[in-house]
Amino acid sequence: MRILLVEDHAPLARALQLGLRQQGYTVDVAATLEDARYALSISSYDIVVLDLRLPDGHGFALCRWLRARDERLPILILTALDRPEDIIEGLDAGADDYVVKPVELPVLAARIRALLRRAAPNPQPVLEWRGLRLDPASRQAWLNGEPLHLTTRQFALLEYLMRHPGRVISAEELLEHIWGAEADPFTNTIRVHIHLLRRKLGDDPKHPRFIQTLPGAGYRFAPPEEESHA
Amino acid sequence: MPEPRRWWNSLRLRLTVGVSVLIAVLGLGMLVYIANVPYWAVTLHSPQPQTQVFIAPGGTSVSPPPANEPAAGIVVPGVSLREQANFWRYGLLGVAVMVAVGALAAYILVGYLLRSLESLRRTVSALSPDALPLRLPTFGREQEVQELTAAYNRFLRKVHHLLDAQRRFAADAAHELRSPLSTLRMQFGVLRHPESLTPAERQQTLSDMEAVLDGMVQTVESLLLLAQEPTPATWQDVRLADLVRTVLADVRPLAQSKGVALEADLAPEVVVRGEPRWLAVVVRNLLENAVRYNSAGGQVHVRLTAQGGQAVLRVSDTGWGIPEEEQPFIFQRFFRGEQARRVEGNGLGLALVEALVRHHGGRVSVQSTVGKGSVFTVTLPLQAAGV
Repeated sequence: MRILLVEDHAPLARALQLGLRQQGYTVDVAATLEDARYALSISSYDIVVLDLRLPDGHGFALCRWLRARDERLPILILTALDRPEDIIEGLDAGADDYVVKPVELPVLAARIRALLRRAAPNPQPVLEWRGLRLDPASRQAWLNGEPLHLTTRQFALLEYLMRHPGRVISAEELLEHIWGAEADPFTNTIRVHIHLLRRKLGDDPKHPRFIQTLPGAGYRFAPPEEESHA
Repeated sequence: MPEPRRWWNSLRLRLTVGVSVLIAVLGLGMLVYIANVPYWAVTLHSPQPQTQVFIAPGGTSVSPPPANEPAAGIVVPGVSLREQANFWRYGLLGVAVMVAVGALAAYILVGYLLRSLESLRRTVSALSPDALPLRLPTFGREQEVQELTAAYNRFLRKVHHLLDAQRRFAADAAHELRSPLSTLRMQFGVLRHPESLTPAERQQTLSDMEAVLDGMVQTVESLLLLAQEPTPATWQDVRLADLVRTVLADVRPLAQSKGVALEADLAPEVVVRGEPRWLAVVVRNLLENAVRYNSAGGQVHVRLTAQGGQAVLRVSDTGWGIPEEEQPFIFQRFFRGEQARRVEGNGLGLALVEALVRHHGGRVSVQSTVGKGSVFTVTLPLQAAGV
């Protein structure tokens, strides 16, 4: 899952970026509203974490700009402004959550998980399908009750796929949301990771139980019954 | 050392005893006087009074002495020794009664007069530090008690002032340290999983933590300075030119890294009375601000002069300037202007300057134009020009 963190206080921004990355997220940092608008116009994000007092304006402006542009992208305001009027205005400006600083990273991560869950087609806290069980909160996975050992990237990849069951997801989309700005579009990163993931899941690409490859289109989690049993 | 609490130290008892002694002395004196009246009367009038009638104590009318007896000597003429003994017996009894009645009256009266003092005592001893009143009510009409109450009220004001400063320090410290502490905790948490970080990220996190810690130390030091009361006892004569030069040397590296030119024009013999450490904080904060809120190629000029019994320190810069609507607030604690937020800071620098200058009996003012720069002027009472 890819986060855009709009925060001008550099030490805090770096700490949040690294802390959230350790939780399996890909985090881009924008220090100004202008940077944030630019990042949002060239890449797609799963959630925006937004500070309010920024050097070139108020975070509410970005909130309204985003809502005028994209209906669904979750916005979490993270600010030191704790007056009720600010909270009301922030939520009314289109934010989905309002967190007052200082915040503990686990709390922030849980709120981000909740927002991502609500925004996804599958809003279950624990994702389950055909004996595959994924708990994003504890970052654990099981297959038929047996623990699965997945890397951070593999876990993020699987979570993204399971959040959007039945939808065809392009390799570019996966690259953008899981790898973010670190992604190198001219590699076969996705193919390699999907291959490793399938091996761990014991999935046969010819008769996929979990991840189906649609050549030239992308990947699909939870392929329709008739195809999987074909 | 205070006197131990003893019953004989009671003001009421002492006043009662005092009044009793006074009545006894006056009564006895009166008796002696009356006992001698016949003698004085005889000797002061004609040497051979023939028809004088004396009223001896006890109301006995006595006949004048025979004319051939000389009206002199210690024995009171016309009063027998027995009558004199009676006079003293009844006289002393009368004085004793007067003393007793007087003592009782004095005890009751003094107690009545002291009751406002007693209620003041009760009120003061019931005071608790958690709920100190701003002032005490009025107790009685007695001037002395009112003066005592007024003295208590002056003391209460000072206590309130001090308590406010302490509470403000605690609240400010808690509020201002929460954010950096939370950041620090996050950075610490990140470092707990070093395997997920590149060496550069680890290094960056460590230096970030150091910067956050430095900021916290500075915030605490500033708040402590703000919470302090002036202590002129430790003040000394400070030659401002030397002090400004020392601070300039400290600020120069920052100015060079920002590409800001520092210039000084210091009158050498300007001396003020004060705490050199605090005055250095004033100069440093003004200079650092002038450099920080400035652009590359900008200038900062420090000028020190003596004018009309005042030392005048003027720090002018070609920096960003302060919008007119922000100017009234810049000396408030934790105020940070829209532009100022682009630079790291705790919002205490100018509050500290204002408080320290005020403690030294001086004033600080600002003139600023956005885009042109600011001029901060500090005036301090001159100790002596040309030492």
